[in-house]
Amino acid sequence: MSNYETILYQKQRQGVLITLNRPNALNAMNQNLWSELDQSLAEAETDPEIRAVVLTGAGGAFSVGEEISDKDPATAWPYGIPERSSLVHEYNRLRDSDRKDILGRQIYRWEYPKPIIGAVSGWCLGAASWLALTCHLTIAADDAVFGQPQIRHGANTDFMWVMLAGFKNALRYSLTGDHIDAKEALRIGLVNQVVPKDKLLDECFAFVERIARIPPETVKINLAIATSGLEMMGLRKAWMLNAELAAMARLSRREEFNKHLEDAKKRGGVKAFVEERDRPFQPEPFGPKAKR
Amino acid sequence: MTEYKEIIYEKRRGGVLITLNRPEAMNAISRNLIKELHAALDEIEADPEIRAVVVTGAGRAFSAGMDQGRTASGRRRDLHWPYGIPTGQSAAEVIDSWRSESRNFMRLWEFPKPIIGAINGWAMGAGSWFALFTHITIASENAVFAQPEVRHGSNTSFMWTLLGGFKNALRYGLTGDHIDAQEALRIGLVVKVVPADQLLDECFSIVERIAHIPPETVKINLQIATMGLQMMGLRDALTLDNQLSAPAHVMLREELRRPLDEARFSEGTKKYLMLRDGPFQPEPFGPRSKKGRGLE
Repeated sequence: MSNYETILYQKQRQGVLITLNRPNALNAMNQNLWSELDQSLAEAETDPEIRAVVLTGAGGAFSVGEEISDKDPATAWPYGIPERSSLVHEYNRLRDSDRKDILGRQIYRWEYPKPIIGAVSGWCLGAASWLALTCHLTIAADDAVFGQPQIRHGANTDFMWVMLAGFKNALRYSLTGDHIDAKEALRIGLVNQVVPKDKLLDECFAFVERIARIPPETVKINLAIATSGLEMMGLRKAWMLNAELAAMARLSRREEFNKHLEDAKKRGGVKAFVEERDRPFQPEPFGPKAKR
Repeated sequence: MTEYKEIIYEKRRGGVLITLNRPEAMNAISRNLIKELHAALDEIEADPEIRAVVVTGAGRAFSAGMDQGRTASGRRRDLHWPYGIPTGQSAAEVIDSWRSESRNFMRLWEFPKPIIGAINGWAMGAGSWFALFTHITIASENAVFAQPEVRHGSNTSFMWTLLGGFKNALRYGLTGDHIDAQEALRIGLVVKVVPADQLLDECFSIVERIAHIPPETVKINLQIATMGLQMMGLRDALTLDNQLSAPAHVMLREELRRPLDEARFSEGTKKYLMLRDGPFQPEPFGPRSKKGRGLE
């Protein structure tokens, strides 16, 4: 068994609990974490004792999403790309990242031969929301918050929000990056169930133990009936298009919208950046930052 | 009846001949040309005497593609290096401006009456796409099909793959190489090649045969093909095409792009084309091939 730095890998109750483990960073996703997540899934895939995977976050939060760097190169305005770089270079980099890294990993998890259950408590934002929603089941604790605030600084949403919640709900929250709470997530179809926080993992592993009573090949096939079926119906194409549009979204920064955010980051780091970005959107419609 | 300046509209033999009429610009597709085409299609749709449409080009060309004048080169006029973005614009705007739609071509594709392309000469870039979107395509012996603009940062069209298969489409779409009428026939872009002086007669013979069949039957049998292909994924493929048009046009490398632009603006389009196409001479087929120049 490998030594993981950023995740915890704990076999139990005929499954494995994989925990995103960077609690000091609210489990922000970096390259190391994405890579170890894939490695741990690969390990679980070939272990016959593991019948299903439960994915959660350490320290009470699932994850605040892709780590925001505080060491960006200076942006050349009005171009919106780093000084002395070129659009071809930036576009190539982002397009490859969106298609090979992000979509590639999503499809790996989507087509995984064992059920992956997302156990979400606390913050579940941005790319971490995609991680949680692309799980085959998603169970939320009552304090879960879902959102994609990164779109406020020039980034894309993911089609999975549309697939689960329908376009009207998805657009309500993904055009603006607004936060929603567990109850709203349940209402619009992002999660299977909402449970008290202290019951979250037990609920997930109770499901794992039920799965374990069915032959593995049967489970694998019935999982694929859903996942491959949706791919047949167009999910893969929607995701391919998503990947192209994602690169464009990440290049859609404008001086009048983004420069002051970068200035805030220079002054006060990522914290100031996030505050400055989200300030015009307060209060959020749901969650801890909503009106009382 | 509408007054047309950039097309000629002539009813005959149960159909109508639409001639792209900007021979001084090799029938390059301008905004006005597109407007007039739509107006002509409106007129055709409403006229029960017209059973099918034949489209051809005036002069030596069918169409040389999108009008370079104000659109493409205008947008590239002052690229700021090393960014590769026009001065004063954001990446956001320039990318957005290059995302295209197939609305114009889809109107041809979904038109309720057959559209027959009479390809009389050069069909380049979007001019080749126009030819490929026609429901039936007949070429004169002088026809040339190519997408040379892929040599300077532009996309090919999925229609080449749909008709030619991916192997042929990639052979010519990755390099922008010219092909002649015979090669176009061989790979499936056209259904027949005829001598230049027989081109229109060949097309209107087909129109007259169509005119013997009830219009609703013709319309449905046309849609069996056109809608069927859309069901099978053509619409999706074209959607992706349109998104890929943006990266194809904006991902410009300074060392390759800058000399071309500087040549165009200091010495004109002819010099620009020499620089762009020079490394590719001779073409594998057509007037610029070894055979075409009498060198074989």
